[in-house]
Amino acid sequence: MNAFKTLLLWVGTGFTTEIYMISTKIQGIAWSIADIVLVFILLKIVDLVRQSSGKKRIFYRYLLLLVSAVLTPSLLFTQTARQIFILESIICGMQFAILVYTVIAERKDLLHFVKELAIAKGNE
Amino acid sequence: MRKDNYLLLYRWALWNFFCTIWVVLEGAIMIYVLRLYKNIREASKQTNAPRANGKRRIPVVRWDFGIPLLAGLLFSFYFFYQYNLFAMALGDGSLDGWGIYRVSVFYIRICGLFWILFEWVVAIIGIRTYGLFKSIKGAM
Repeated sequence: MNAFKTLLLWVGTGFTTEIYMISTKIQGIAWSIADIVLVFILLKIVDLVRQSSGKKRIFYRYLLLLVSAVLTPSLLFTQTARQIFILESIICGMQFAILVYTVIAERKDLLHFVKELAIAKGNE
Repeated sequence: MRKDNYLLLYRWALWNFFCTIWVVLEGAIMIYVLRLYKNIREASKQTNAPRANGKRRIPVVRWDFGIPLLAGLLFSFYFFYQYNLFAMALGDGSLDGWGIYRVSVFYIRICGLFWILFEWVVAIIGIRTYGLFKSIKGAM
């Protein structure tokens, strides 16, 4: 039996439900935090763009992101894989909804902003 | 070997294949975001002339083969993993139903590590992009 098969055999006998739950919670939290940072920075970039075009700042999307951030630590208190799945779906669902809506709604302004920056830099 | 273990193997192999596709997708997004950041930096006319110590400010990296390489590596790992799992379950019978389940679920945890890595790279590039936009806008 090669080394990889030995590893799989160890996993097959030693990767218990408890270890699975702990590793899933840790990964879920690490993934959610990365998503929160990613979406937050995207909203900050969009705010910069909106400021340039005289539009008002975003509010409700930040609020929805805050709700997802508040829910993220609750992953630690889940008892079953199903609870983790449902909670993670809600958290990620909110974050991806913000992401998709922002990319679609702000794409023209964002593109225009980048073009303006490139032109301004070219004129220097 | 029990018939329901065949079904178990098939179902988990299929699920893990979809997880692998998802990892490749996230990796492709990460590579596109890196390319976009590189283009924005170049568009901002930041000089890429070598510094006095000979090192460049912006790493000159070719990303053209990034996505095929990433997909190749990830799918190769998937097939290697599944081959060994099938060999152990069907061949020498060293894994029973519970063993198949645990090994299959462990693969998803490995995928999770890649998901997290790619998400954090995109988040960090996002922070750098924001800083770049802000500094360029401030200088205008």
